Amino acid sequence: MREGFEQTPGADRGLVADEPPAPLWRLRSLAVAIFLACLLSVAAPLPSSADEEPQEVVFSDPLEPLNRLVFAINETLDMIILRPAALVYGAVVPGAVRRGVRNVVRHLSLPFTFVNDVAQGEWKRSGDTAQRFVINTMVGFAGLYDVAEKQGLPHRSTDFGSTLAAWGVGDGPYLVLPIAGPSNVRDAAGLLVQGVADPVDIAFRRAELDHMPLIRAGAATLDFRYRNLETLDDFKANSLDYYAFIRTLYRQRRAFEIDSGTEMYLLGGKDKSGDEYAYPPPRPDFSRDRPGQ
Amino acid sequence: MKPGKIVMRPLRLALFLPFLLFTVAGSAAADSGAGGFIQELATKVLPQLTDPTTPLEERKARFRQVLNRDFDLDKIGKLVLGRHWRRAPPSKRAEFRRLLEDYLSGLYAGRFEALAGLDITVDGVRDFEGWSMVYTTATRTEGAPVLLDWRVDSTDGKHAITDLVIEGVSMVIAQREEFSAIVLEAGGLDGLLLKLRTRIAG
Repeated sequence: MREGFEQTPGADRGLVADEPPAPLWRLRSLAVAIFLACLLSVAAPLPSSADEEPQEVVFSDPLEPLNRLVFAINETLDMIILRPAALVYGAVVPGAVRRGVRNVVRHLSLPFTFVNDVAQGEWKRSGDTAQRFVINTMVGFAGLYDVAEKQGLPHRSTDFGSTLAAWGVGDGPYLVLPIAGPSNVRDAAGLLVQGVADPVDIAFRRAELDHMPLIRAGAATLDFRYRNLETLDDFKANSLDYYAFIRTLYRQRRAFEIDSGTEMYLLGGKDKSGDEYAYPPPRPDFSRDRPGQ
Repeated sequence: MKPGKIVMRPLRLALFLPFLLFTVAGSAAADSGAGGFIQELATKVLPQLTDPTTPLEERKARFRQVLNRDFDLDKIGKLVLGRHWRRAPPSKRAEFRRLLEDYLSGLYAGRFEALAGLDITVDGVRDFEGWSMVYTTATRTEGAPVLLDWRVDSTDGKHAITDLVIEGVSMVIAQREEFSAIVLEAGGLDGLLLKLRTRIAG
């Protein structure tokens, strides 16, 4: 993901609406096709008149009124159900058990992560993901302990939305999904695909453990909410417009993960070698040899 | 992965990242480039703001000094207001600039503790025309390291921070999105100024 400068500038703009996504034929789900069609029609945000810096391109949120409504409903549900549940979870469940839950939840995500790594052509990462899965399955008691991390294979996640991005699909308008929260058309389509294609859930269903996918999703949600209790409280208390804050957080974070940069914000233009850059410019990968360490 | 998870890591970090903002802003004496500037701020100024033996009020005052000396608040103000800045008359610009300083000071003042024990290492620097990106990693005794990138503008050897990018999330962009939403909703800049005044007044 973070390959630094090797990324082709503008390769994944999310703004290019007129290029048909090559892999469309691979998607069998009608719902996905509909989503993509929708995406192609409305994805491109318009630049504002920019006479001096900063050149601005406004993020696409044509559904803002509806999104704000869903956001408010989600917030209410969070306030009366999820946040209290996370508080109780933190207070009642011992830390060792919570770590186990987290490890298992992450472990179960690896098979689908592997599929996506391969689909994105990320061979090295797919190998790491596979190794990690094997090590933690064998030595880590089916994922209960994260042995692989200590061996230099930290957890990494990706998803089908990222795969679509790697295939050239733009992100489309911002969406707030009921319960699932911040998303966009592309990532929502990715979520639909995950719903039917996650190998672990498929295995559960084949084994007639039909309730397991739901339990798994519940555990993942609880774990996520618990770990973000303080952070979200802080954001909510300190933001001036919580909806807008979460929206920008989601979009920027997503762009960072997909390594597309936040191209809609061109706070500069060219670097010293004359190459055009997005802002923030892609972060070089220092993880392998960090100077001065 | 549910999409919300994407936000997770920066969220956790973001709690204390803003503190970092303050943390790293410090003496401007370093002339060894933008990287040295950030490194020196991290090692010299951070401890001053997190030292529990110094009264909080004094640390707050120091932070405000740092904000004025090592951050380019004029430029940050322009960047976060975007097109609304260009349309605003000078009096409104001045008021916004003043409110922004108060707002940022207040926002981060309560978070100094979270910065204690933070170790900031410069990973590398990338130079652009007139500014540099200083890539750093912040580590604490517990928790995952946080990627912190500083946009440093340099004029005549004087460095000033104009943005902080936390795990890929630019604070300037975030603030601009938020402010812009408020301006749009209120139908003008006055709505944002009012909201800032209200927030600052507590």
